[in-house]
Amino acid sequence: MRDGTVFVVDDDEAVRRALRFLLHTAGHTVEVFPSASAFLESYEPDQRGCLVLDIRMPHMTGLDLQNELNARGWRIPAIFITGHGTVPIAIAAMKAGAFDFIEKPLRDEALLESVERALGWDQTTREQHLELTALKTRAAVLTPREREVLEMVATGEPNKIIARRLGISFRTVELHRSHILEKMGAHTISELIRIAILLQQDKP
Amino acid sequence: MVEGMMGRIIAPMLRGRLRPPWSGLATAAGYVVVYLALDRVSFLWALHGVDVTPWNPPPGLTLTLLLVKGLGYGPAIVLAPLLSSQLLPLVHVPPLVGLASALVIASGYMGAAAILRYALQIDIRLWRARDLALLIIVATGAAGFVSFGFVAIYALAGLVQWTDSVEVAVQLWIGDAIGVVVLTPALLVARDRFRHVRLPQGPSFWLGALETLAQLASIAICLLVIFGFNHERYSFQLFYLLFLPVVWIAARRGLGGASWAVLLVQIGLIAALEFQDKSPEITRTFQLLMFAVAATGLMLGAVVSERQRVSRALSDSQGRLRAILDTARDGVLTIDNSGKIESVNPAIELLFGLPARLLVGRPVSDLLPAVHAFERLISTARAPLMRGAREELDLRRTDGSVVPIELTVGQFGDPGDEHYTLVIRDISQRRQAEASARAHQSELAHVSRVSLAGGMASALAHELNQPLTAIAAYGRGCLRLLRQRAPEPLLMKEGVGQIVEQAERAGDIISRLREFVTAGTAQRSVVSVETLVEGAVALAQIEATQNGVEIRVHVAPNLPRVLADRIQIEQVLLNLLRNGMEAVLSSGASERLLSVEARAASSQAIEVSVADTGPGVAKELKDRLFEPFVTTKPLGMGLGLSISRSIIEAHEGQLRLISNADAGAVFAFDLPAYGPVCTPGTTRHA
Repeated sequence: MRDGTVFVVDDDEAVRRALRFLLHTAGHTVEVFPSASAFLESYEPDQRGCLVLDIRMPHMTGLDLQNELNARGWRIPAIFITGHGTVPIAIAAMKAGAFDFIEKPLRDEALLESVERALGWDQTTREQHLELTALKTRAAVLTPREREVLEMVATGEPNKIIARRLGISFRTVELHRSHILEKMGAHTISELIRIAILLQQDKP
Repeated sequence: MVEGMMGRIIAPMLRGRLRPPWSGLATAAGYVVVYLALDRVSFLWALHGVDVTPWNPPPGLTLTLLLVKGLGYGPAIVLAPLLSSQLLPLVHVPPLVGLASALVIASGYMGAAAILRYALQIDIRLWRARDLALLIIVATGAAGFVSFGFVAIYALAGLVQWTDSVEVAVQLWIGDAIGVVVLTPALLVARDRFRHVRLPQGPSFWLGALETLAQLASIAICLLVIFGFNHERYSFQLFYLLFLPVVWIAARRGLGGASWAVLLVQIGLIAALEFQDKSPEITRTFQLLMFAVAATGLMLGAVVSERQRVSRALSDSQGRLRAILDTARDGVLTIDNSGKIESVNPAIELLFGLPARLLVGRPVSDLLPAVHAFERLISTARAPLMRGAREELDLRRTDGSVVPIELTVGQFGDPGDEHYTLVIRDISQRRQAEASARAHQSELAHVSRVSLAGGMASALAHELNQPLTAIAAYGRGCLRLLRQRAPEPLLMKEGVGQIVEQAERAGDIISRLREFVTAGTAQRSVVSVETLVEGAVALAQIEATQNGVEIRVHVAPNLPRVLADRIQIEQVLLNLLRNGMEAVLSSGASERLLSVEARAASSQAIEVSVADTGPGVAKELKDRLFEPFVTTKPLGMGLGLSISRSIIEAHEGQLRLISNADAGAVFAFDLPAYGPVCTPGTTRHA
C-alpha cells in the first residue's frame, strides 16, 4: 500500500460518501469535499495523494479546478469521473494536465487501479523532485570553473580535450573532477554524468 | 361647402343633358310635335282674345317629360309653346310676347318638376298615394303661377284687357291644372306598366275584358244621362253620377285603371261640352267638377294600388318565411301564451320524430323536459337581457333517445296576446367536435410534455447516474469487505443500507418522470396548490441544482384547493420554470434565482406566478409570445407557451406575462378556486 491521501470532491453527498466507502474498503486514507473551493481552501501542496472529482459540478467544475491547480503550480494528480455526455470535457481536462478520467458507471477496478497509479506517480514525482532539490543545493557550492568542467564532463568529453578547450593543464582538470565528485556526493564518473544531465534538464 | 351643396342639388338636375345627343334630340322633337298637336286638338275657343282653353293637356305632357327625363329638356319646353303661339294661327301673338310667355310656362313647370323630384323626392312610378297627392298639389300650384304670369304678359302687351285678366287667368289655371292632373298620372302609370308588362292568362283574361267593357259602358251611359237632357240644371245635378264609374274602376283596378278612366271621362266631357256648344262659364264650372272627379278617382286608385302592393309584399314575405322555415336545419316552433304549439317546421318534425299534425295543439311542455317548463321559457323571453340567450339542454325523444340541443326563445305579438318562438338546434355534432378537440389538446399537451422531458434528458441522466454510481461503489466496497478474512459488520451494514437508499432515490426520479410523460387523457381532480407547485419544482430542481440556480417557493397558507389536471398544470409550471432558468443562465447575472409564488388573487381565483432574474422578454417577441412556433431556442419547437396557455384556458384561467423588466420576467396564471378562498382577514369556523 502506498502513502498518500485520496481527496474526493463531489457535490452529490451520496456519491461522495459511496466513493469514500469504496476507497476506504480498498485501504486508502480518504478525505471528502463537497466542492472544488472547499478542497482548495484546506489542501496544502506538500500533502501527498491524488484527487478524484466529478467533472460536472455547479459553480466550479472539475476543469476549472484543474486550471486552478496549474495556476498555483500544485502538481497533485487529478482523476476525473465523467458521466454521459461529458467525455469532450474530460478530453479538455486531459489536455489541461489531468492525470486520468473514468467513465460512469464506475468499475471499481478501473478506479482503484487509476488511484494506485496516481498515488505512485505522485510518490515518484515527489522523490525526483526531492533529489533534484538536493542536487541543486550541492551544485550551488561549485566554483564557476568547476561548473564549466562539469558541463563538459556531462557531454562525455575526455580530460585531454577539456584541458585544451579551457587552456588549462591535464592535471588541473583531474583535480577539478575529484573536487566535483566530492562536492556532489558522487562515487563514479558515470554517476556524475547522470547528475549533470538531470541538472541540465531542469534548466529552462 | 356651399359649392358642394349646390353641386349636389344641381348635378342631378343637369343629368338629362348627359344623355346621348341624338336620342335626346329625337325625344325633344317628338315632344314638340305632340305638344303642338295636343294644343291644336284641345283648343276650343278664344276667350277675350287669348287662346286659352278649359282643358289644356300640353302642360301635362310637359311635366311628364320633365319628371321622366329631367330638366335637361328646358330648351324644348321653351320652344314648344313659342312655336305654338307663332304657328297655330288662332290669335296673333307678337314673337317677343310669345317668347316671354313660353319662358313663364317653362319656368313654372321646370320649377314644379324640380320641387317634385329633388325637394320632395317623389317616386314617379306613383306607387305611393303620397306621391300622387304631392303631384296634384304642386302641379296645381305651378299651373296657377303659369296662368297668372302668362296673362300678365298678355295684358302688358295689350293683348288682353286688364279688366278681363283675372277671368282669363282663372280659366287658364283650371284648364292647365286639369290638363296636368288628367294626363300626367296617366302617362306616368302607362310608362311604369309598359316597363313591367304582365300578360293576364286563362279565364281571368276574358272575365277581365268583360269587366273592362262594362266599365267603359258605364262611363258612356253616365255621360249620356248627364248630357242627354241638354239642360244645364240637370247636367250639374246629374254630374255626380260620374263618380260611380270612376270609383268602381279605381276600386277594381287601382291607379292604372283610375288614370285611364279619368282621361276617358275628361275626353267624353269635353266632347259633350263641345257638341252642345256650352258657354265658357258653364264649361269652366264643369271642368272644376271634373277636377274633383279626377282628384278623387286618382287618389282612390292610388290608395287601392298601394294596398294591393302591400298585400302582395305581405304574401311574398310570408312565402319567403315559409320557404326559409321549410329549409332551415334548426327546428322552429311557435307557441301561444298558454303554451300550446301553434306551428312547427319540418326540422322540428325530424327532431321529435313526430308529424306536424301530432305536434300542433299540444302543450310544449310535453316535448321539453320539466325543468324547462313553460313559465321559465316565458320569463327568459320576457327579460330583455335574456332575449336571444341560448341554453343547452338534453332533449328526450319519444323513442327514449337523448339529443343535446341548444334552445333560443323569442317573443312576438301584442301585449296580452304574446306568442313565443322556440328555435331548437341539434348540437350533437358540435358536442362531438368539442370532445375531439379536447382529445387533440390532450394529445398535443402530451407530445409537448414528452418534448419538455426530452429537453431535460441530460440533467435527468446525470441525476440518475448519481444514485447508480453510489450503488455501484457501495456494492464493490461490500464485495471487497466480504473477501476479507474478517469483514467489519458495521461497515457492511452501512454499505448495504446505502445501496437500498440510493436505489429508492433512483426509483423516485424514474417514477416521477414516468408519471409526468405518461399519455393520460385530461383528468381533473381536486388538488392542493402545494401539491402542484411541489411536483413541478421537484422536476425543475434537478436541472436548477446542476446549473447553480436557486428556486424559492412561497405558497400562501390556507389556500383553497383547485379542480385541475395535476399533470397538465405541473407541465405549465415546469415550462415556466425551465424558460426562467434558461433566461437566468443566458443573462450571466450573479443572482440566479427563480421565485414561485401562489396566492389568492380574488375570492374565486388563485394566482401562481414564476419570476426570474433573467434579462426579461425581448420586445419584438413580447406580442407573439403565446403564438405557436415562436421560439428563441435553437432546438425549441416554440410550442411550450402556446400549449401552456391552452391548458390554462381549458381550466378557465389565464396565462400571461404580468411584468417584464430588465431585472427579469414574471409569468402568472390563475385557476378557479374549488371552494371559498380564505383570506387572512376572514376567520374560519371550526
